[in-house]
Amino acid sequence: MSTTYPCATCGSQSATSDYCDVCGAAIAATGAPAPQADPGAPPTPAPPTPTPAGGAIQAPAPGATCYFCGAPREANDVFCEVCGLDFVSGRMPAPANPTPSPMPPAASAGGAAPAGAGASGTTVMSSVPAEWTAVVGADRAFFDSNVTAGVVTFPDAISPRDVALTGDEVTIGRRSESKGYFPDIDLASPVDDPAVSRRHAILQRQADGSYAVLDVGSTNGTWLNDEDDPLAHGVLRALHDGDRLLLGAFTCITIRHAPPAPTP
Amino acid sequence: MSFSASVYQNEFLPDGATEVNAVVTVTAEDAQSGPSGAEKAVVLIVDTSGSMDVPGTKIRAARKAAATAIRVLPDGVLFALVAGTEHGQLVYPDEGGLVAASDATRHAGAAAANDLRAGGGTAMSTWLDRTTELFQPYPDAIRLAYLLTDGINQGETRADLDSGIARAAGVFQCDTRGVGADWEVEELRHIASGLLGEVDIIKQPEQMDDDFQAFLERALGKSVADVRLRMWTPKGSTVRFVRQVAPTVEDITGKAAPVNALTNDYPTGAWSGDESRDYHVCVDVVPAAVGDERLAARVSLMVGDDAVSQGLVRAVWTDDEALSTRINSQVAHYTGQAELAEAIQEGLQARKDGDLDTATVKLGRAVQLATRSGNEGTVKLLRKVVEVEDADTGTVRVRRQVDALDEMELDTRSTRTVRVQKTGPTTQEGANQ
Repeated sequence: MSTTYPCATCGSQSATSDYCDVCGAAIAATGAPAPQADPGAPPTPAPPTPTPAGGAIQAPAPGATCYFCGAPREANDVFCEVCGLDFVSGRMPAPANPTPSPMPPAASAGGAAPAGAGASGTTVMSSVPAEWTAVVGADRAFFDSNVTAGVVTFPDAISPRDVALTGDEVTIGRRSESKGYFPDIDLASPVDDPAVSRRHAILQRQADGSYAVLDVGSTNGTWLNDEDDPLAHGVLRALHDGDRLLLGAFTCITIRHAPPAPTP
Repeated sequence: MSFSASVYQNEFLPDGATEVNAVVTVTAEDAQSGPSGAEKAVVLIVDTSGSMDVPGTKIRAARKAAATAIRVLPDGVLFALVAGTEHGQLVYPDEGGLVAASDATRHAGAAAANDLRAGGGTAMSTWLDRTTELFQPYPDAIRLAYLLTDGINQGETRADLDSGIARAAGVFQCDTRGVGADWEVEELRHIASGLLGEVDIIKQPEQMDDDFQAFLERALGKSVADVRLRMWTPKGSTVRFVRQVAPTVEDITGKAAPVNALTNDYPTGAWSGDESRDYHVCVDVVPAAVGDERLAARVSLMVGDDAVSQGLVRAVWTDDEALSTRINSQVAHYTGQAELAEAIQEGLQARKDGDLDTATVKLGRAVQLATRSGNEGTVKLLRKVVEVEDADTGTVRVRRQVDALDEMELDTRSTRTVRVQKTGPTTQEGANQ
């Protein structure tokens, strides 16, 4: 008969593989142990052999989509091919070249974080000087055009900060210590933009060393320069020197084809 | 044809909260161009009651519009012409069911349209019943009707009309049009809502032709019939409402057809390859602990037995107020658009009832909502009914002399919404230094 997935929250057998079709709890997060994939490895298809009934997580129903970015998902996929979400652990992909985190408070707070804490994407610093920089600041006009007045106040005191773009993938979001998620460009501090999604977007390095942006399913969208519509979720857009990304309630990230300014 | 769905929501709820709101945008895209999809069937229903002859320009315009529409039907489209009085009479073909358009049938059909005579009463359920019979043998076709009237459904009770609508529901979709100012907006909206169509006004008889043509263009552009919105919600939850919010506001909560204990289907009718509709769903779920996530709704678009697209509405409980107090801009926008439609309808009703205070408050609120959301079409219609002193605060004066046609136009179009205005910086001067 049809495949079912045990729900650890309510104990029912769900016909859907992402969330329990009775109580709505996530199956991947709470289900039985699943085959472990090397987080650093490129996406490899899982063996197509179905696990015996009552066993581990099984292939999703045909027509299933990534429960993070909504991209179509093949039955054998372990990772989402668009946003890279690990369907088994529910985590975003590891940076290509993990090195110790430059954010000690975040890393130490993750004491309870699983071994995959690195996989949640701390800033990757490499010895090669960065050629691209993201300047993180706030844009008053963008803030004024959003419907957040009264809920969020504009951070008048914010001073733009430079983030060197070095890894193959730079995550943009808001850190969650409880979930062990630390994006490279953290918009929860020093100034918190509450309208940015935890996992908002990623910058992906292209073959020529430049970066492209990918909105990984943010709640409130990401705008490129003065375009009318927000970026379509899951679609890569190339970035050029001087391009501006507008997101959250007020955040403006300017992409510069230059190394970061030296810190005073 | 492919469908895609995007979900806009703030998934974060405060501890113990139950209400989850989301806007689901469904977009259809047709990869191929040219004629495609299912067989198409259209029925034109023209009111030929005595009033259509007063003045005679109405029946003459209706004849001409119907004849023109029939003449341009593409080969193979199934069609029929029904004349409505105290009963629904099949005018063309004179017997049997729908016929396929060809040189011969177009010629004969147009001739029959030119021969329409006004005289008799008005019992719209009989018009719907005749049309239901015509469409019934073609369950797989795209089935659209166009009902044109100039008056009130006088020849029967509302209950008679409702049972006619109930028999027609699911058999065909129907747009309704009122000509002139002697028909009832609420009545034609009631029929159109029940049959997944739209109501509109034709202010002058000579505008009939264009409206008929526009209907045909829309009808022939449809390529997938009987698309359903399927919504699963978790055990213990309650669906507060399911509302289409773009291109028009239409509450479809009451159209739920149960699939199983936790899943309902909502009919959305036929889709063309280039349309996009937004739905606002509101569900009460059983709260989970802070930090926990639950799926609050799974919204799928169904064509036959296939889910062609789906969107997930989630709930995550948090003790971070900065997260949970935020209202998603899409949800806020469409809550405003739904309130706008309600304010207009209530304001116009109050004006009709002679309650000018209520009318002023409601229509003032409507001006404020329409202005803030950039719904300029509606602002323009509102200005014909009220004098606006200050759009920001909603300070208005109800005009003493209002053209009945303008008032009805505002009423029929009150449900038209606009999408969220861009929140990028170009609306602000000096944003790009």
